[in-house]
Amino acid sequence: MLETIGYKALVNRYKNRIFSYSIYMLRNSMDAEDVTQEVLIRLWNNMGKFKLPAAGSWIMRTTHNLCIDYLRRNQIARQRSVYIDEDDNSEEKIMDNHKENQPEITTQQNIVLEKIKNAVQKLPENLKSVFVLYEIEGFKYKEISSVLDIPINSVKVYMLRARKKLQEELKDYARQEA
Amino acid sequence: MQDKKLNNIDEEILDKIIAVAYKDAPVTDRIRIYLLTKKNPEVKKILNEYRQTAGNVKKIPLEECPDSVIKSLETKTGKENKSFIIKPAYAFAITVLVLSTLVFVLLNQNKEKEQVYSKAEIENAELQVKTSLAILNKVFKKTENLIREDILPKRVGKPVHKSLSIINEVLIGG
Amino acid sequence: MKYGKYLFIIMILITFSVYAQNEYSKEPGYFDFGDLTVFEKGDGVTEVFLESNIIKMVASATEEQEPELSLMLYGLKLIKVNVFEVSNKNEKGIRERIDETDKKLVSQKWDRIVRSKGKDETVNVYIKTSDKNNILGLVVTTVGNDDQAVFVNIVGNIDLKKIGKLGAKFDIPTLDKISKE
Repeated sequence: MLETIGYKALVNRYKNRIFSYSIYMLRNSMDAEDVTQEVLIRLWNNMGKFKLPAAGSWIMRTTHNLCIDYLRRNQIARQRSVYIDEDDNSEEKIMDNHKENQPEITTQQNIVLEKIKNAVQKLPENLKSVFVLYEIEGFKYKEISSVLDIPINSVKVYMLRARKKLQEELKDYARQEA
Repeated sequence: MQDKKLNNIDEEILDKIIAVAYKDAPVTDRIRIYLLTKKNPEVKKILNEYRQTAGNVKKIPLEECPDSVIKSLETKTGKENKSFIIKPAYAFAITVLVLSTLVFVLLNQNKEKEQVYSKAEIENAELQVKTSLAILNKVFKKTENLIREDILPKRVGKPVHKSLSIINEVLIGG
Repeated sequence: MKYGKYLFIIMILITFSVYAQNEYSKEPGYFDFGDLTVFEKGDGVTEVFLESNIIKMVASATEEQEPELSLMLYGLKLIKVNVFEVSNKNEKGIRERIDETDKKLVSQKWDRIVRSKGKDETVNVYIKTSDKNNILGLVVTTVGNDDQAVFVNIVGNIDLKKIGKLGAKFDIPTLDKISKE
């Protein structure tokens, strides 16, 4: 019973983080849903095999690894995402599928946010994972190092590069709009 | 290099500007960049651009996980929960309980069996019993003397009365 | 596998705890004086430790020849007697132990029926009674000018009268003679 309570608490705490990370990495809400479900099932099966303070790292590591598996498996999907990159309308469609939960997106602020999200999605995989975990999911450098199994200095370097890259993307947006 | 000179901003300074914009920088760097913004308008411009982006990034919310994912999850974990495979922790607890009960019962059974003593052992024990009783008797006698000769003359009280009545009953045979 | 280690440790602890808890230790009339071996300095040391099994055997063996003793013994669960020779080395420790024992017994709601402190002699007698005023335990501590210290604990259904009578019987001058004097 205690395990069930613990599991429910972890699900409530991490479900959105898992889903967010998946959707940024996979750029596809259906795959993101599949990954989320798979991670939560694995969490259930592994309850008790890790200490609760380490649960967050375990969950996000599993999410990241599953996302990588999906990306490698779905080479065509990745190529499709490149095609989508070239097609601005298609990008909006990816996020549009998910906008069912956020029906009213009309304010300027939300438009800006959407642009930033799209720019984040375009980041290279290694920079994107660090950026999303830090800026959007709120993990610390040490935790990210554990999740992605990379040295902490690499996390800092990737973070810096991601920010620069994002800024360049947004400048491109601004130029295009102009 | 010339570009850098024009802007007077090298990569190191740019990295610091970005860190300050995203609020990652140590205090020393924040002070340094702040002072630079006073001297160099380009630094100020770049800092503001990054700050704006950083501000918007901080506002990005987590994507909401659809309820359908959780609902389908309940079905899957519920099915697995119904399996008869006992989790290791429960198996451990049950094993401890069963084994401790077994040990307790076995040990108690052993205790209930009469121990076999040799004749010599019983005789020795009988002697010890008598010795013990004799020692007790000696103590009671000593006490009676103490009460009579030492304490009684000095005070009379309930405890003394009680002791006396017990001693009298015990020693003299009431 | 990790549970196996804990299981083994728990089993050892359970086994030891069950062995450690003898029948008499659970009795209300039982009292633990602590480690008295520290006072065993001299030659004049007497120790009696009889548990219920051996007491019953003695009771059975003495049924015919000493029925009064036998009847008394059937009600007992433990007879524990320690006698030490008192010397300069252990006298202080013994007196301290007697004082500690007194405090503990009083705090455990034993009735102190005798507490006599003479010049060199100290005698304390305590009893533990049930709700129905039956005596379930007897503790005696004494240190005296005969250079002997005595610690006694008797557990079970105790009849002080009979104990006195029988004690007097076993080669000790009876009080009758003394009181007449």
